[in-house]
Amino acid sequence: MSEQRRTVNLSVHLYPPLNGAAGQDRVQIALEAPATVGDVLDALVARYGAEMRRYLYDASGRVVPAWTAFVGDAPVQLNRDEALRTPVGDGDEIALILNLAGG
Amino acid sequence: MAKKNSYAGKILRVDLSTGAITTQELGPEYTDLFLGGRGIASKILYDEVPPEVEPFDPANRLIFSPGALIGTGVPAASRTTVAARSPLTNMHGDGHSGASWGAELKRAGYDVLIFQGKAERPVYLYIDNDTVEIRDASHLRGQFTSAVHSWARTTFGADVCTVSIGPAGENLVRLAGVYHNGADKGVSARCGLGAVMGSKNLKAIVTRGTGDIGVADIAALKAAFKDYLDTIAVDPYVPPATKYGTCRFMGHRVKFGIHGAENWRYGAYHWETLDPEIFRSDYQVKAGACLACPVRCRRDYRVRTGPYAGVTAKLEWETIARSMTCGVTNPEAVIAWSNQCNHYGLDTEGTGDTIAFAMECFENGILTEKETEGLRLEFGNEAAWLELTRRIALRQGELANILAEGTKRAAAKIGRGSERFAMHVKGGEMTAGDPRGMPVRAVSYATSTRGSDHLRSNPYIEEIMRPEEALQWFGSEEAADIKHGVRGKGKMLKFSEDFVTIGDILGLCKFAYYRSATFPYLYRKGVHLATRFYNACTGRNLSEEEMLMAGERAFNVEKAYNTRCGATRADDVIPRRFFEEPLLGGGPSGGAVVDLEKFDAILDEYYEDRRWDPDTGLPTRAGLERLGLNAIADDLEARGKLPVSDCGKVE
Repeated sequence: MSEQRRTVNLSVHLYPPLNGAAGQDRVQIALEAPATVGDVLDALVARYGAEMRRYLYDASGRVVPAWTAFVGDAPVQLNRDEALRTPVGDGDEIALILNLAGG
Repeated sequence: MAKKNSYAGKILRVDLSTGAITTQELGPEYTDLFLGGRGIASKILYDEVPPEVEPFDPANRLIFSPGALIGTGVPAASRTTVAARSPLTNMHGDGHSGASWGAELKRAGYDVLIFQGKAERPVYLYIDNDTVEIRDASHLRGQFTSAVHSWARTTFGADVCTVSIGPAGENLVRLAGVYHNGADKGVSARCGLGAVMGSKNLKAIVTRGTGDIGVADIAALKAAFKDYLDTIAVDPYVPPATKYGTCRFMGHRVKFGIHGAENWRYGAYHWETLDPEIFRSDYQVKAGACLACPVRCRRDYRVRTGPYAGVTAKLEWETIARSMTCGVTNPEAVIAWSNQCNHYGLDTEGTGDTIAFAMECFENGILTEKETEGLRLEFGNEAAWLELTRRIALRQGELANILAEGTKRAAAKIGRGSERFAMHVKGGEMTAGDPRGMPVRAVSYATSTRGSDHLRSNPYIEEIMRPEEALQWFGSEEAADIKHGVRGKGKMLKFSEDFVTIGDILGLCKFAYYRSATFPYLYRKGVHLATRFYNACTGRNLSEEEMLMAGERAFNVEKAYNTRCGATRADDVIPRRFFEEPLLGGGPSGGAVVDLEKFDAILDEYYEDRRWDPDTGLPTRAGLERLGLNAIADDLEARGKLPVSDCGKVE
């Protein structure tokens, strides 16, 4: 079996407001290997539609730069297009959190 | 007839020593350059309270200055500045509240209210439009903030608004705040301003205003209002704020590992019982809003069962954070503590950090049960935490009396090595998240003009900015790198300080205007729309650049005030712990320290961009004159407070 046909199973923790769009805090996603953070975002939009897109992408179609994807404990700041190419592996726990510090 | 430019046009001045009550015109010397709110308050404080006047001296001023746009219908224009020389930092002090009292003062016909002198006995000020009287408040002595507000509404009608202090302010506790409309509406918490009010024997201000706050161009206001709503409708920042209030910040602290728990030692901590969803589902009784705010992040909570059953409190994220600083993670105890602080009139941030300091002293044997009078002051001991809070408010017992002075003074008094546990900047206790996981925060806490403060700037811009935007605005893509960036960070910090100061000048809430998920949204709200709102309400025609310069000007006035009080670069520093002790608890920031070399590099760039002298940290004549602050430059020069070499350039 080629590498491309293997499946990458991921647990994705959705922080607000993404959990509102999905109706739950944690979702399971299966992607075809090799997979990236960008693929995770695409899968979320494909599954949950316009509201998920509105929170993740701006009007120009780029990811809202305040999102950080944690792959395990490693933060990936999604303010650079190349960050979307960060690989994710089978069994990884992904967290998507909006950088909303300032309280 | 009301003016049609959002200003009432008058300053109300009350001399509590002589009983004299006077009004003066709010002239262009204030409105042209300083606009309102924090801008005008800072200028009055500089002009009227020289460094020879100590915080509890009757000659200190207590200045109430509503933001320029309060009461106009501009969304989230709700903030009022209270300012005085701070008894906590001995420097410029101010606090801000979002309750409706400021709008009531403007409707009564006054843009600014200044107190000076000291009454012989407890008094309150009664304002009913043109009727202004100093009245006896002996019967209110020792009353909670909530009781004072209830008394005022029972006595004078449900339409009056109040400002008051609780027992803590009366007892000159340097951690006391000024409460607006009782215990649960809003508080000007920082800098110990409640103690300044107490030092003047001023228990409360009861206010009724029925006048109109005119607006110059209602069509322009409506157009800007629509654009504001359109902007927040697409900003992902807003839905979590509306759903969870400020409790939403928990997720950010968890994932970045920057809690600062147990007196700023642990970055990762057992936070799960304080999950925002738990507060929402188990304790929330009211989701509300400050004056005219469509973001709606105010939250009231009630404990339903158990030892704290029936206790209610308005609760903000910082109160939860400072509970963790004391090792407390029981949400019901957190609600009870917030209730207690709000009623006694304490600042939860300063009080939490001060108790955490004492807890670490206890852990290390510097304080024993003899000094604590039987309290086992261990991290997480919520009963001891609540009891010590009460004692601090009442200055009950020797230790509480010492802690009522705030962390810095308490450490100096206790000695025996306790100074290394005292977490403060310029005497103001720490706030927000641990800076070891996010370097630019470290510098932002250091440069704040009122002691450590996360609301004095918006270093969080680094968290929402694309590299190309950082290059365009701050000269380096590095400025958009949270963990590793250095170049451009100083410029970013300077911009963000000027930027958020606009909000305090106009009375705009930081959470409604000065936080966002993209830099374009942020700038649009905080500068573009803020300027349009100001011009629509006042009939003026400020440019966005001039609005940013107004923020810069107010910040420089405060810097000059602190300089006049003796502050230098040596005061723009954070506690040694952050440089020397790795963050505990593991997690994303486990083991991190603030890199001193990077800290200094960011600070150097910051001073240069501010046109301040990098060696001394002093403002320069050229920098001050560029902002029209010539008289302040003259004053500093006369006092020998300008640097020998002038690095500023007039453009």
